[in-house]
Amino acid sequence: MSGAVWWAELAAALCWLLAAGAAVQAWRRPGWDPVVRVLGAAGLAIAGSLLAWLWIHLDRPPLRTLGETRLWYAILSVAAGGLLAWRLRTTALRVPMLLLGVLFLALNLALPQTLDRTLMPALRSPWFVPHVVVYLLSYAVLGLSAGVAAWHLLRRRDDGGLAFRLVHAGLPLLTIGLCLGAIWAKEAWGHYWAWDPKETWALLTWIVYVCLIHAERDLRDRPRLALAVITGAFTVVLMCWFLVNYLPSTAVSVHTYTRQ
Amino acid sequence: MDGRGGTPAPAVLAAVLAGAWGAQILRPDVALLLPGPPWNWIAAIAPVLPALGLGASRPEHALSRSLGSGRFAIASLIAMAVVSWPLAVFPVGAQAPAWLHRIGLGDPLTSLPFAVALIAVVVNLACSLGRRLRSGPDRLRYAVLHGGLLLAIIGGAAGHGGLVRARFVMEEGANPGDAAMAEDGTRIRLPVPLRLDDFVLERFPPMLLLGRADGTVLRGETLLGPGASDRIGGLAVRVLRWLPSAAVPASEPVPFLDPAANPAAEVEVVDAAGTVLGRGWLHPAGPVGGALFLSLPDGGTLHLEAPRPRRFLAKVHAGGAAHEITVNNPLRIDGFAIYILSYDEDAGPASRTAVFEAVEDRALPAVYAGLALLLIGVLWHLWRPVTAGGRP
Repeated sequence: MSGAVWWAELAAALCWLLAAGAAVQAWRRPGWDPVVRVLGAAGLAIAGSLLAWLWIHLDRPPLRTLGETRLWYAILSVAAGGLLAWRLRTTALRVPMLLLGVLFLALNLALPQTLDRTLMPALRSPWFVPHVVVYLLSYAVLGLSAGVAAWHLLRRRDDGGLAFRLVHAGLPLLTIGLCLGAIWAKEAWGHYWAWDPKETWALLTWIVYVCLIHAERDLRDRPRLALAVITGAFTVVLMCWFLVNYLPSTAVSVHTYTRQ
Repeated sequence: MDGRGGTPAPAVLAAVLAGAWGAQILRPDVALLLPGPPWNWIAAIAPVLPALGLGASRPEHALSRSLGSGRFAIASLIAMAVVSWPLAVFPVGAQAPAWLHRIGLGDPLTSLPFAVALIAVVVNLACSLGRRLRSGPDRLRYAVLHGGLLLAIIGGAAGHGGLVRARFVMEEGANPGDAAMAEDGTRIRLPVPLRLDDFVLERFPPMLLLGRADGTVLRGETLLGPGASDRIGGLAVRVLRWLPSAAVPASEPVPFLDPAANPAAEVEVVDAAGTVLGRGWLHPAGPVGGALFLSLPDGGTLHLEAPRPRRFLAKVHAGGAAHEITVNNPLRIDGFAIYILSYDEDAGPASRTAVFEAVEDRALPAVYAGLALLLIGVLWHLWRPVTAGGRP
């Protein structure tokens, strides 16, 4: 079964890779716009169908393993990116959002994981899906902010406006995920905040983005620094999501569900 | 966050933090703990009221502008990040590396620098809230967002001081008990006597494990049962016979109806060319039988993984009524919440004991009210963000 998952992820990744190429063409030739939309939607349909199939086949929300969260992340990057691009009336999000989706699907292709239908008792909670999905959505939007900032840095465009708008969308989602996690922890373990390593990284991530927003007015006067800071801030998200599993503190963490 | 400070509050914070850190290094045994009720509330609110009053009564005063400024917010949050990072990277307390103790952060939460950083965050929030309550745009949104955060922090700090946490173990059928042992070793009396009537552990069916000659292990994808089949490492595995509950007296399992018993499966292994590589019984090691596994011609071995827990629950009697406690469903009774933490994992489904924790947190309504306001505030911000360009 994991073989079928691999091929579906490859198909979605190829759609988005081609859509990203078409988006680059569309900068000069607007006639390519429909191609971007069709390929982007096709990739989204394949990846979304895969997610729905996994949910049914595994008989649990597919949010437990790192591979499953990466699939969500890829889908949410493209879906949220498309929604924000429409809301902000910009085409500048297209390439970063599609490449982010391709990157995370490529990680799944390189590190295929076996399907596991078990779910530990602590994750059997109505808070599980909203907490993790909101978190992944915030990571997707903050990833887009970093992608846009890096893209502008590379192209030597001193405009941090769009990247900051995305941070203003991602931080509230991060805060909601944090609050939902605290309420769930109280229900499951009796404490809403225990300074567990994962929780502390979540706090550090939140602090970094809160500081970024509070420094926005000063940073707007120094756009290249702003772009560099927004790009670099995403490394803290990656620490909280993946890299915390490789730190000495993980030995005392109760957030160890994603290890296989 | 508006306002650029007139007086250098961030520099003063840096100096105070450095002083507190130095004191902690010189006196590593100093540990700050919040007192019990009602002093926990007084200690938690003490830094808030003067800052809130200053911000509200003298919003344009240099000290007020500085303490309530965006720059002081950044400085206080960075201070909080700096003192709490060891919790993110290392085990702390008794398990902390020695060098972490030497720099005063072996137990960051009770350290002087942590107290300084927390007070700075609270003072900044209170002062900026006081200022914005008097004047400025977006007053309601600002008050909901920042007031919610402030209330959650105050409630959390006060709750930490007044928190009662006590663990206890109950055995099925034992006389009802109402005593538990708190973290500090004191005995806590529960609001009602509790009795464990039954402990139930539900498990998933087991899965296959393939140990390869190079030491790597592959996990199957199918929850096994009668007639099930799976593919693992290029091999097809089919279940020929299935015993849902088995003991292993010799080299072959026999039916054994005991809650502690594991399932056993007789399987046939076929390679991609259709050649039968082996046939035999698999059984995970357990209280009523050792492991049975199948050796394969390439040096690999095929095993049955021990069934994983799906759900565990305790049927208890409390206050004359029957209740069920599961991991995400504690029993709430007279201000206490009773959580199930664990059970006798060696006995598995045959466990007759369960470990519980009773928690009483009188400050929880304040924390939840703060979180509710914070959530309303961030949703508001999500819907209508105020960026620096749109600020006054």
